[in-house]
Order: sequence, then structure tokens, then C-alpha cells
Amino acid sequence: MSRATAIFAALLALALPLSLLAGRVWLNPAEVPNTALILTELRLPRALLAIIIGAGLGMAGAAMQGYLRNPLADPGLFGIAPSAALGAVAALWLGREAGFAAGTWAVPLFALAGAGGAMAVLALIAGRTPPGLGRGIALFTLAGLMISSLAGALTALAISLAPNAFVMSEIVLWLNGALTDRGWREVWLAAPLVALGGALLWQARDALDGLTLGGEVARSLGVDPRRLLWLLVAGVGLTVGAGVAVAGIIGFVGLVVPHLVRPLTDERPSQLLLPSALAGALLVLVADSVVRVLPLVVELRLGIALSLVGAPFFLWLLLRLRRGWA
Amino acid sequence: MTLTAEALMLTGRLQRVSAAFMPGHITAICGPNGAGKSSLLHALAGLLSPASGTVRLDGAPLAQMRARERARRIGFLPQSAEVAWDVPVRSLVALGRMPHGDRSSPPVDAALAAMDLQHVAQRRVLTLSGGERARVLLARVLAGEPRWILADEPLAALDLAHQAAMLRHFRTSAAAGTGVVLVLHDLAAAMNHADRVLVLTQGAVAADGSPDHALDAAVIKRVWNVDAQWIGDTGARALVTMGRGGSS
Repeated sequence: MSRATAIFAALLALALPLSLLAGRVWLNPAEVPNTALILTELRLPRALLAIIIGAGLGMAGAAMQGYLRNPLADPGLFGIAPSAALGAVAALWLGREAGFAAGTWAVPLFALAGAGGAMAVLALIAGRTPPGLGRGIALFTLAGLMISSLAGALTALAISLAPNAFVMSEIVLWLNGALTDRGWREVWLAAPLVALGGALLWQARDALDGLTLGGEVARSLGVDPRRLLWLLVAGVGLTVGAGVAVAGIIGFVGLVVPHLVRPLTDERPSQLLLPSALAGALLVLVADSVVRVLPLVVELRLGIALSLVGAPFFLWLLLRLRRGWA
Repeated sequence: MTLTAEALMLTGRLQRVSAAFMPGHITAICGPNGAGKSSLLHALAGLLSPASGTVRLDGAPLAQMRARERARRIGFLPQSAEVAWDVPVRSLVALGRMPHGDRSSPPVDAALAAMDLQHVAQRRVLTLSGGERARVLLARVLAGEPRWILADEPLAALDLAHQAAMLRHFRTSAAAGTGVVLVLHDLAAAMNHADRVLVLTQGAVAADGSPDHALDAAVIKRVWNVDAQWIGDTGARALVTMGRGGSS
């Protein structure tokens, strides 16, 4: 086990029990009635969900940065998250009309369909991408950005055309991402998909290492660019898509986490995958615990909280990189 | 044990290029900018599919070979020395083992030793000088124990001493039976260090043979349109150019 993996596994093992006890009510088993029920039905699934989603986002971020050979890459570049969000928004929008409310299976399933749609478009482009890696990657990233823009525009359209103010606020709230009121159903939905996505990204680890010396060298080392692209699309699609389906958009984890992990590793992309999954799990778990205990009238949305921390971090990173280049 | 190109066509870049490369030899591919040198090297490495024609490795078409099998036999050193992540030297060299599916240390140690890099094995690659980094990148190729080394302008970014050292390493590999194919801009390096020179111009073979023959003044005049003359003794020759030739 690498040093980074050990550190983040230990921190996660420490954070999990604390997160279970933390909340509006600090759980003291001797005093609080129904402690077992609160733990098993409310806090444990929520904590597990934070771990699952964070692990998926962290690993997807590490894989994307390795694939694009760029520390500023983010799983969002494939446009999976906005597409999944569009699916969920469609469910919320139609739900009012058809009579099913948010919180049913419709929202996560529609979101998964959205993620699947984005993956299908990307796969279609992947199938036509020339086998070279360099140009292929640029083309692909641009395609992801376009998918992202399109999904964002359609989401904005859905919001502006919302049948009533209630649906509009429901959509906006959902887009901000949160783990509030999530339970075992969401855990069972997300866990297998994130696990499968993580396994696919794990399969790409050697190829990502090969990319350290550029696309040509990777191919000369026997890396099949098309297989690598498929692994990335499916892996990022499943991990990110499943996360958005159950929790809404939670940004910056995929971008920030590999940077926290990288200094603790030898920087090979393969060495980043597992610790980034653990660090992502830790970050989302801690962030979700913090928004729970903050003494605000309304719970701060997790997606907002992470962006509030993530955006300044990203700026700091840009400044540091600029100094590096100067 | 040969690597052959048979009538390679690549629109706008190669015009029915045929050539055979021998193990144990250093073959230099020379030619003016845009002559198709790099395209030929990429095609020989299996990184570029020709529109028509065949590259054969030991008689078998390269295009039908599994990528890993090809990678085990052919080591490719690109012109770019770009490294995306600041990984330790040893990890970078060990990438050469990827086609073998192992990170086995004896070949990695041997490659580090051959390139005189043991003392920097634990250093991060981006902290090295340009010359050291070039050696690390060649060590990465050697760690794969390929039977062919194809290098695209391996001397381009190196100072004189590092160029000489690099050429010595290629000679050592060739002496051990490896086929070495180098794209070279420096005609003197090709003249003094190659066993054979293939001269390309406008995507076609202009000369192919011993350095004396393939790089004689008449070929240089015809291909580069430069009046030049070789001076000095065999193995230590220098090219003196006498200005651009007359306009034609």
C-alpha cells in the first residue's frame, strides 16, 4: 500500500465515526433516544453515499488529469455531469406534469439516462476519432465541452420555462447538489455503478502511466488509444453520472483532490487513482458533515459549499502554476 | 531479423518508399525539411498507417502484429523530450517494461547503468538537465530490451558532448545486435557514425547506401541544393558548405 493510500485510508477511518455522530443533534447514545435508528436509517446511508460519490469523483478526476496530461483537467470536461443534471431536471419538470414528485426513482433514473446519453455521443465521436492520441484528445475534449454547453443551455431553458415557481426552485435546489434526505435506496443505486466505473478506470492505470511521455510513446509502448478512450468514457461516465444521479452536481472534487494527493505520491497517474478515490471520499464526507453542523437556518447545500472552497483553491493553483512557468 | 518498408505511400508525405534495415547497423535517415523522414520513421514504428505499402518485421506485416508484441520488439524515441509529470527517474525508465507486463528490475537497472544514471535514479525527472533527461529517455527505450531502436532526431536538443555520448550509446546497442534507425539532420553525424544512410527528398528515396556514397557532394547538391565538400579523414569528417547553389 502506498503512503498516500495509507494516509487517506486512516483519515477516512477516523472521519467516518465522527461524521456519524455529528449533525444538528450530536449523537450521544446514552442520552439521545432512537440513536440506533438515526444511525442506521439516516446518518450511515448518508455517510456511505458521501464516500461513494466522493470516491468516484476523486478517481475520475485523477484519471482525467492523467489522460489529458494536464493538472487543470476535471471530469466535467466530458460533459457527463451537466448531461446527468439535465436528465434529472427533465424528471423534475415532467414530474410536476405527470404527477410524480422529486425523490422517487424518476430523478436518479432520468439523470442516469442523461449521463448515458452524453456517453453515447462521446462513444460515437470516439468511434470516429483517428487512432492518434494527440489530436484525438483535443477533439474529444472539445466535444465534451460542447455537450456540456448544450446540456447547460437546455437546463437553463427548462428552468426559465418551468411550469411554476415551485418546480423552478426545486430544480435550482437540486442542481446545487446535496446529500440531505438521501437513504439506502440511493446507496444501492450509486454503489454498483461507481464500483464498476472505478474498476474500469483502474484498468486504464498502466496506459495512463504510458501517457506521461506523450501519446506517441504511449502507442509505441503498446497502448491502444481507442481502448483507453472507451475505458475513460465509461469509467468517468459511470462514476460521475451515478454521483450526479443521487446527489446533484458536486463540483471541484475531481479537480481539487488529485492536487492534494499528488505531492504524496511519485506523480505517476496510476499511483494517484486509489488515494484520489480515498481523498475524494474523505473530502465529501467531511464537507457534508460540516454543512450539517453549521448553525444556519437552512442547511448549506453541499455543492455550494464545495464550490466555495474549490474555486479559491483553483485560483491559487493557477497562480502557483503561473509562477512555475515564469 | 529485418525491418523492411515496401512501397510505402502516404498522401503528400511518402511516395512509394522502399528500404530494408539491418540489425546490428546504425541507419541514418536524412533529407531536407518536409522530405518525409519522420513519417517514414513513424511508419516503421507502426505509429502511422501508410495508405498503401507494407512494413514488415521479420517477414510479418507490422500492421497485423499485436500492439504489445510490436512494442516488445521496437523501441521508439520521439523528438519531443516532454514529460507530463515529475516522476522519479527510475519509474520513468521502468515504463519501458510496459509491453512486457512487468516492472522487472534487472533490465531497468541495466538501462540505468548503461546510461550512467544510477546516481540520479531516485531524482525527479524535471530536476535534471536537458542532457541528463535525454539519457533518461533513451534508458526508457533500452529498458524494454527492444531489437530495434527508432529515434527521431535524438541529437536535436543536445550540446556537442551529449551528442557524442548519445551516438556512442547507439553504437553500443548496434554492436549488441540491435537495429538502430535514426532520423538525423546533422549530415556530419550521419557521415561519421552511421553504417548506412537513406536520403529522402519530397517523400521519395534519393540515395541509399554507405555514407560515402549516399551523402557525396553530388547528392547534397541535388537534394539540398547546396554546394558542399567533405573534409577530414574517415570517421571524423566535416562538411564545409559553400553557399547556396545556383537557382534552378
